[in-house]
Amino acid sequence: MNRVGQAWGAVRERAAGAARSAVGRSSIPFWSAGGALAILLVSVVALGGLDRAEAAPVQYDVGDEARLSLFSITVLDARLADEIEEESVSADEGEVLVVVTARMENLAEYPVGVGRAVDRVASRLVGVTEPLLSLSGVTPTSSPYVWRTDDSAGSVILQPRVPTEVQVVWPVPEDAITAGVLTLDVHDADARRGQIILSSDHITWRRADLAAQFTLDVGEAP
Amino acid sequence: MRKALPWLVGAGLAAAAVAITAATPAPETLYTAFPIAGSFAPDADPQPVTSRTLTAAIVDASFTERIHAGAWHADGNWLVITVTASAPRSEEDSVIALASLHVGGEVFHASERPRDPLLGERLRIGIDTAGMLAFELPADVRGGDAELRLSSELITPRLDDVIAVGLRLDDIRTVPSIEVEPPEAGP
Repeated sequence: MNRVGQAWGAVRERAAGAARSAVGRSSIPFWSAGGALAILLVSVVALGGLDRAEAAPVQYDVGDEARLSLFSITVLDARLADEIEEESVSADEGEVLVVVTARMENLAEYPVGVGRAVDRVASRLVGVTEPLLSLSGVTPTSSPYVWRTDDSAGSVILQPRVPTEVQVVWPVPEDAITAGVLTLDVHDADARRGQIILSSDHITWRRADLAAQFTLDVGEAP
Repeated sequence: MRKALPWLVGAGLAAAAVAITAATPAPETLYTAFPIAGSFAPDADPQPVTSRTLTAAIVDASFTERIHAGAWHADGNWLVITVTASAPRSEEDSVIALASLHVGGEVFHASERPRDPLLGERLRIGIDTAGMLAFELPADVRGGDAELRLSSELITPRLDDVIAVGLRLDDIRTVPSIEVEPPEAGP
């Protein structure tokens, strides 16, 4: 019993000592540091520092240029078609072709292919899972076709800082287009060097935030 | 002194670690290609250089605002380089599959736009094939030092030869237009 009493007394004494030192002169640095931290935390919260980092995509219309970190795109025209005779491409039954003509510029210091990888660089612009360019809410029935509009040969490669007029054609189900308006989602990208199994001289443009949305007035299906 | 000694030893070890890290080559340098250097000057005789799969020389280079290939044409800032190439040892894998131009930190590939480029043409032993490589460049790339790299695979090779011919873009003449001719073998 006596031992318990002694122990209790010791605890009380310590608590009193702690209370004394908590308001004493020696604790001023502690309180001022705590106060500064609290002010910092409150201002961070007030300025939105703890919100989810998700920038709203910038809205664009046909004719506007969206300049992102690795490429820029200006949508010049968007329409629906059943077939594109010059390229011998036609829509299957129940499908329609969404034809988007755009001027694209590669802002990196190396060439990138639009529909394929070139020399260890994968741009992932179209034709892959999670492409940088996609039609919002519409699942294409197959990979899009990509070509230049001027009868050039070869698959499209964007040389650094050389603007290029490109046509991207997505075959989509006919019933996916309801109001005659589509949205082109443009994601920004980070250039990642290397991957787990690939060596560091491979570059992949990995999809980042949804940075821009183009409103495409495609009209009625032909 | 006894107190300072561990600090000195620690600082020395840290400095040694920094020096070793700085001196260690990057992992990709273990795999880089071996450049086989050549040079080009507009009025000098072409000087062929030979890599494992290619013997090549630049015989001509011109800037132009417009290139033609048959009915097709394209405007822009084009650098058209005429190259003669042949197979040094075997015709098996002797082909220019990748041609790139390195200028001021940027890399350009020979354009896929004109039909019938030299790219992909099978080369012969002892017979030069002359063909053109057209580079589509930004408007401000008209001067400075450049390097044309030629190799036989579609991607930059690792631990294999690459022909690297230096050229000064300031010395290269400008012509109004150029017809991109299909490659032709023979003298």
